[in-house]
Amino acid sequence: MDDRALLEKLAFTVIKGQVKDGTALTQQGIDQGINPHLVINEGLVPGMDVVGELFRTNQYFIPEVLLSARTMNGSMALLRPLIVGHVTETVGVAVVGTVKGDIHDIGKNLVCMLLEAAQFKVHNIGVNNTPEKILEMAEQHHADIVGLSALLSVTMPNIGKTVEHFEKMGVRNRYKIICGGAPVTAKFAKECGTDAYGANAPEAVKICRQWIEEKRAR
Amino acid sequence: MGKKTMTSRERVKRAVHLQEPDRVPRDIWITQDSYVALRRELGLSPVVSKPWDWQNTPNAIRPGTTTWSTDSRIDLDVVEKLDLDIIRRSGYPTNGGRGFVYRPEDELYIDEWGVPHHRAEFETGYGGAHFEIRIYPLAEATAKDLDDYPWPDPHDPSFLGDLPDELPRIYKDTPYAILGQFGRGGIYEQAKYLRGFEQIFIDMAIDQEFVHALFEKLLQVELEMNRVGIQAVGKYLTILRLSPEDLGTQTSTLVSPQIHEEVVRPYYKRRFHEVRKMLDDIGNRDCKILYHSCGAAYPMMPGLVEDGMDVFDPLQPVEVISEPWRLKQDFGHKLAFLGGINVQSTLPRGTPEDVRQEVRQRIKEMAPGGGYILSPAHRMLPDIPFRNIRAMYDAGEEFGYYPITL
Repeated sequence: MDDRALLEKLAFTVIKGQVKDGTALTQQGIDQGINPHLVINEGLVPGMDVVGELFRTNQYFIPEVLLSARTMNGSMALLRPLIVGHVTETVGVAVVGTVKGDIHDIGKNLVCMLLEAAQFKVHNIGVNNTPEKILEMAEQHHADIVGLSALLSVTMPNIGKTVEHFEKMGVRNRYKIICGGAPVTAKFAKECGTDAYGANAPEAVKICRQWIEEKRAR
Repeated sequence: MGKKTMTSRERVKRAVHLQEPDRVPRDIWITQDSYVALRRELGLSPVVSKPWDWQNTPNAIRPGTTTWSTDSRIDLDVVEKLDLDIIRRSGYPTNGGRGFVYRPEDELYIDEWGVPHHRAEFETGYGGAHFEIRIYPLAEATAKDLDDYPWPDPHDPSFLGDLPDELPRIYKDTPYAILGQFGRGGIYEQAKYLRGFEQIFIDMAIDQEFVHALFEKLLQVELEMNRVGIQAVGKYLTILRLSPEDLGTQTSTLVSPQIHEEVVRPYYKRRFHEVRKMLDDIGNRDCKILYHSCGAAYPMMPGLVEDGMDVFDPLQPVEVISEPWRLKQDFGHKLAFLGGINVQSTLPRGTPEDVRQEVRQRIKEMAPGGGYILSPAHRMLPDIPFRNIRAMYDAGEEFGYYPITL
């Protein structure tokens, strides 16, 4: 199989969520000497882009996205050791967590998976995070982006409290902050002082990518 | 302002039978923390019904309407004061009635299905807390393991508790309709709690054999709970609520309509049919079956209606595809609705006038021809101010009399 055909086929395994075929094709690509960066950027990432679009337009649902993410991760496990030491493919660093008082994490984990698939370095800091903890993690990991999630109407004010804490500590302008979760709306996100609202996981990823592109253009 | 000409029970019965009653019936759904505040605001004594006080006694009963939440049981005086029409009662935890059992070594609370939960304070100044699952006990199980799992036992005497005494009394001594629920888990929903959300979705895509084995077990437990409950007290019910299930997210369904059709629907269908038969067998043919799903579930609605869903709750006012008016337009000739007032934005964050307008809108689109019960679109958490709860029921009084001329 020539390189181009292999990469196309690999993208297809990601779209179809075929974990074993994806891993096998990736190994084959490595064996025939395709540059690992090419495998990621012209095989896995375009496949995952299609998955995000299918999810956004209600043609794919959670099971399909999970399988695609697993396929991507299976391939990445083979590729990652080969790119260590080189300039990494990471486009940006995101720290993502659920705010204090809230321990819901399904949607947030989905955002993390899709961000990883889009080549972000993602630090998923789990649930029930105080503003102090979120800031600490953002600083420690040199994050570009901070993602905040809340599922309950009673905990979503903690998104605002987290932003306030960043402001109080004088570091607000170092980070782009995006938020989401079932009861969260664009209006609420704005009132809280975040930079953006992600209505769903693919949209959140799209916004994060735009930010990184803008940052690079500056 | 209109005049009431029916008892609450007649009112609810007409509504769920898709006939116009005198006024849109009203219900409530609220957590225990919020309930404490509500009683205070209503000037009622802080003494509330029966042992529900999990806050002070870690091993206390949770008589809520689902296994894992902190829903409150509503006392008669609140029903009277808010002029509600429905009294909700549900079966009790099957593990000797203890509900969550506190496990000090890891500070987790184990429910009657063996699922460990963590208790988290909301910590936004509203007070209150909620429980979330920490460990999924069947995460790595195979179909073979399911036989040995300690399933809840609906024949545990704690399961019915005081219902055989209380329900006939409510039926005889009060004008209210009884909404009863005996299932304490459900099929698809309980599978998520036992297997884990991610894993059950993966299973549904690639290991349907396991899913079928698990769903079959859960269906049998659910049916047996309903059998025990219906045989004991089913004759007093106007509405039977099945264990709640969730099919939708804010904008779509969780799984594709195809997977739902192949994997989930057959179990729902059998549950609707069996439970209908149980109600018919005890002579309560008028009792309607209520099915709960949050989120945008439109693609699954035709099948649910076809298989035997009579009432849909909580009518979450999502903004795409499953909008309340669309559900009424497309299914209202066969289906009644309960709920509909937004607990994600309007009730916690709107003004009383916002609440009034939403109730007006919902009554306008849902109530003509009967088939609508006014209620919050999910349990009310402590962030909902009393003035908005008041505004919701006041607007029900203002706009809810038939004929609806909005």
